[in-house]
Amino acid sequence: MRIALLEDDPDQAAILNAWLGEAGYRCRTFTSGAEYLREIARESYDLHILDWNVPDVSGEQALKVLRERVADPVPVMFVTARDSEEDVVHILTLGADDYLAKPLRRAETLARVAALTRRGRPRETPEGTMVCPPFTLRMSTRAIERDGVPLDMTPKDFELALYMFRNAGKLLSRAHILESVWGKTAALDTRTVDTHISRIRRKLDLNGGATGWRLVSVYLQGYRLEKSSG
Amino acid sequence: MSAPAGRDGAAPDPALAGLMPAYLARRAEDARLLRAALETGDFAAVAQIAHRLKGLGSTYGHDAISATGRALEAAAAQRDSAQIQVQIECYRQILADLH
Repeated sequence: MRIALLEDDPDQAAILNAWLGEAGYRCRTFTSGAEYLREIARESYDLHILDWNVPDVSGEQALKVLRERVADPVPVMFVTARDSEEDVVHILTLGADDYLAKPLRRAETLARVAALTRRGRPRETPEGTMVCPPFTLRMSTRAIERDGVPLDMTPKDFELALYMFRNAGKLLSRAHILESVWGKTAALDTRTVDTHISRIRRKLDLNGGATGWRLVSVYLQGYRLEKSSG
Repeated sequence: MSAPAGRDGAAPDPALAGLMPAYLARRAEDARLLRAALETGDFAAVAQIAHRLKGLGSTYGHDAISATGRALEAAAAQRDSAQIQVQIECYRQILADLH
């Protein structure tokens, strides 16, 4: 999971990075609104955490721009020391999904992050099966079936397909996919993503035809797995 | 220096240990900035620092810093120099106790 954090205070940023890192999230910190807005124009994240009072462009303005510019329903958590009811209502009305008043508490912060990041994901059974008809993805055997028939998938094909189905409907940048599927330190370039995307599109028939799923390329931005209307 | 204990009896937060020295150094700098802002009657600067202390203290296990930040923020909004002076002294004592 990849998180964009807009926070100019070094101590707040440090503790949030430490908590999120320990919990397995990869967090990128932006110390000004302008820097953050440049980033979201070209990169995708699983969650945005925004402080209100930051240099250049406030968190409030950044939230407005994010909601105007990014069509995907990416979750946003507002984190600020402003705690009046009026402020909370204003920010939630602008499109934030959650509002957390500082000072932050570790367990509550991580619980809210977890709740936001699992929203909108396809349900997985306790046995580790995700059903996205006509596909069934089985975590225990790293296998994918189409209408009950196993498909020929490499382990990496499976990881990539699982990641795309878990994030169906979201536009994911190549760097985001690379980090999430191959790992942060993978010494690979984003063409690796293109190659594997082509492969799972072919193997799973994700062209909007009979399967009802389409894996689309969005020019200069990345990929999105979506249900096709047909 | 105080251990990175959790708030209100909560379990200690292991992430805090490595961050505490830089955090405390910046809080000492805040004390200096508060005094300077009070001397020049810069209530906006007092409010800004107070806002930071309010939002940060308890996260690092220091509820008293958050409480002082809250009191300072209220005093700055009232432009109450005497109360700001009292709260700065209180804040200096909290920092002294932490070292």
